[in-house]
Amino acid sequence: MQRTWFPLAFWPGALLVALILWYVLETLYRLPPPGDALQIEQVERLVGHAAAPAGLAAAGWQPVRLPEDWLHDGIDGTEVWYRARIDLDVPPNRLWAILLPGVNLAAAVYFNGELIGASQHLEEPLSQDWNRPLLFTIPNGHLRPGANDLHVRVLSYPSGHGFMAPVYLGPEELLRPSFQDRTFVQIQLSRFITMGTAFMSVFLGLIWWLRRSEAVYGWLALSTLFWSAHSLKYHVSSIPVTSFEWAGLLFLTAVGFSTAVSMFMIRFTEVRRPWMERLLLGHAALAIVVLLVLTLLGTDVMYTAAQWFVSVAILLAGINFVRMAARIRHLSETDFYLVGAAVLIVLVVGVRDWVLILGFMERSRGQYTQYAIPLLLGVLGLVLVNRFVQALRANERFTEELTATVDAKTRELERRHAEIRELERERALAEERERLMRDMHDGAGGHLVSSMALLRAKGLDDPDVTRALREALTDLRLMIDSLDPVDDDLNTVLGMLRDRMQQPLAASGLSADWRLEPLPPLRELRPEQVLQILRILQEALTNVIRHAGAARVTVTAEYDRERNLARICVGDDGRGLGDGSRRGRGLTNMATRAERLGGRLNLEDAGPGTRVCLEIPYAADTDRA
Amino acid sequence: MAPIPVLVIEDDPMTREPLIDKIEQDPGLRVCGAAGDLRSGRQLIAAGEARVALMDLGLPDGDGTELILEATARTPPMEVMVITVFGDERHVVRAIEAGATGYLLKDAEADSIARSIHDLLAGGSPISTSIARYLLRRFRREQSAGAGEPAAHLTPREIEVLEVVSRGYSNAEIGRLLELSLHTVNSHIKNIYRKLAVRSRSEAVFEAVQQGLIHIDKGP
Repeated sequence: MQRTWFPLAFWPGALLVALILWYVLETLYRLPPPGDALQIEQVERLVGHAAAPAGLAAAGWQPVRLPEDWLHDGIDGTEVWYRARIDLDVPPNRLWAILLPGVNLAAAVYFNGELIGASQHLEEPLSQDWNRPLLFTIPNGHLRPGANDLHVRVLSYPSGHGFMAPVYLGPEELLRPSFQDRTFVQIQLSRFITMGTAFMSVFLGLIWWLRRSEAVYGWLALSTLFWSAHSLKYHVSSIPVTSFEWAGLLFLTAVGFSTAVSMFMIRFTEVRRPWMERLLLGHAALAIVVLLVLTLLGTDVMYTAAQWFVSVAILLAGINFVRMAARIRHLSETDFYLVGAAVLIVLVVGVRDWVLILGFMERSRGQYTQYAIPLLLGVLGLVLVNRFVQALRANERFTEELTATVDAKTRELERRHAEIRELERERALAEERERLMRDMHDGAGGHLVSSMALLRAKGLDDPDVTRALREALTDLRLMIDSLDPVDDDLNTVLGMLRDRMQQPLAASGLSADWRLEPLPPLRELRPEQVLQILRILQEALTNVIRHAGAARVTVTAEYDRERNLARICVGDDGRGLGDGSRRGRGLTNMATRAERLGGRLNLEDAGPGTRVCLEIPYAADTDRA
Repeated sequence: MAPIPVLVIEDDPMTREPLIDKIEQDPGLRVCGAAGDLRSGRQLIAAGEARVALMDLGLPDGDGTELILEATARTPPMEVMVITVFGDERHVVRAIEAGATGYLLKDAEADSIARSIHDLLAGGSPISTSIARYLLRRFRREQSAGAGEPAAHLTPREIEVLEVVSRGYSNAEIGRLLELSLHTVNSHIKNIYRKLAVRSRSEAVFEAVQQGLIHIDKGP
């Protein structure tokens, strides 16, 4: 597939999808405040430490409007107190609660001086509740008519820069559904996504383990692994290390994820880019070393360094995405657009989140990357699995074709073997015939010829003896002829007969008329049958020469289409059968031979003369062409 | 016209002597020499008097095909007929490949022998159903094997003649069937024989070169 860039129509489409996702998330995060609940925005803030509201200084409180971001307001502390006074005309008779939709990092809530709820860990390692809505019910009797005091203690860590979103106060039954919705989207969904990507990571990792040469699977497995680790920040509250160290580790996973994705995109194009790969891996290695050292040293410089490293990693990922989009050649149409759209969405959402994390946006609005990344990883996984399946299918097809080819070859081989066997059989027959012939040539045949010459030389030239010897020689010749492969061709047999009988007929002074019509092939015409046919016809001709007293002999061959048989006749214009006594035994012999052939012998009085006909039937399915 | 000189090379005297008698009966023929082995046969051929040589293949001191080669290599070449008991195709074709252009049955009558010799000199070679079939079979096998030249460049007409012969037709009938003169049919058959001989000779040379028996001088 030759494609250099996405078509123009792709961009608005993909961008629209990204914006819709953004809007949906934005709306989810901005759940409308429950109808009757109070939204508390105007508060007073005090930077300082106290175990309880009672221990707070009276002076130094400053009015602020929520949401407040410590980063923007230049607060470089680890503990900030917020307070608000709520006037209630009539104390409610229902259970009330207080909802904190966004607090970085941990919080404790006091109502009228008494602790009504708090994050799990208020000492390092602090609870990581920045993405977790907090809902605390106000026990009965704590609300009183007139002024009520709300104190919220927000804890962070050095350079951790807390923030505080507006707080809602109202009936518990009103606030709880909102709290549950947020918890579901921000915590449970996030946890589910982490599990999903972790599972995918294991799956892809296994594929890579089994097929090391396919590095794309490895890099995508690593990408999903890094993302699974990084996404813990969205829903894990209790951490095993200090908040600062945790932050350092999260930055590391972010760099790792970005680098692995870049490597995947390079390898996915199937065109390596060594210097870019070295740059990516070098940058990642440097980030790991520097961030680990700075984290262990516990110095604030870690943040600045981390922000640079992550920024560079994201920039490199963007470059590699552009390159991949331009270079990709082997994706199907659908896969191509799916991957393109998913990457675009991640880039849009990722840039938005990064801008937010850097503090250029209201941080309590929450991060969206966690919802976009699984989309991308899912699409990439789908494409890879699809490719894997395609490869399997291609393999199956190949195997099928191979099997078919092997089968065809096997059949071909069997056919050839059969041919070879047939040829060998023919060769064996030919060899045997040659041996027989050599023997007869030098032996019987030669002796017969010599005997005739000898008789003549000694003046013992009795015509009967000479004829008997000559017939013996002719018979030998017919035997030899019958061993000749005739390929089921009766015409050849008649040709042989004609060759052999030419001389005796000429010697007898008979005029011979051969009227041979072409006969169809007779299947399974074996040497013994050829010999039977030759002998029957030879005998018929010899009878004519010896006994018929004829002047003319006619040999005819014709195919009887109606009765599906070959009819070969020897007719003469001689005396006819007459008493028949001298020819009786010869005829009986001929008839027996004809029966052995599966045919029959007919004797006709042709007046004048006789006609002997040999009928050889064809098998029912013989091609009559 | 002077009688045609004929050479008889046959080891069995009981065959040779009657044969000589039968030839001598024809006023147009005369036996100029007779031999019973390869050595004396070779001398007679070298003498070069004969125009036709009748030869047996199985001689006591060697294979008669050697003599056929020598006889047909002369200028002008002698016509060679092989003497055979059965006229079987292997025997005859072996002789034809050596250069013979005819065959004679050992027990043939005097007039048939004389006729055969005169026919041969007039350009007609005898052929039988078996020989024609054998040649056709070999031609088809070589053709289907596809390797090298198909049997000695036989023309379609020559193959046609062989096919008709193999069906048992006489030369005269073939002439009628294929609308050829008897003379043309005969010369077709003789040509087929010559081609077989030429090919078998070139094959022999090729074989000899391959085995290093002959060195072809490429010249300066």
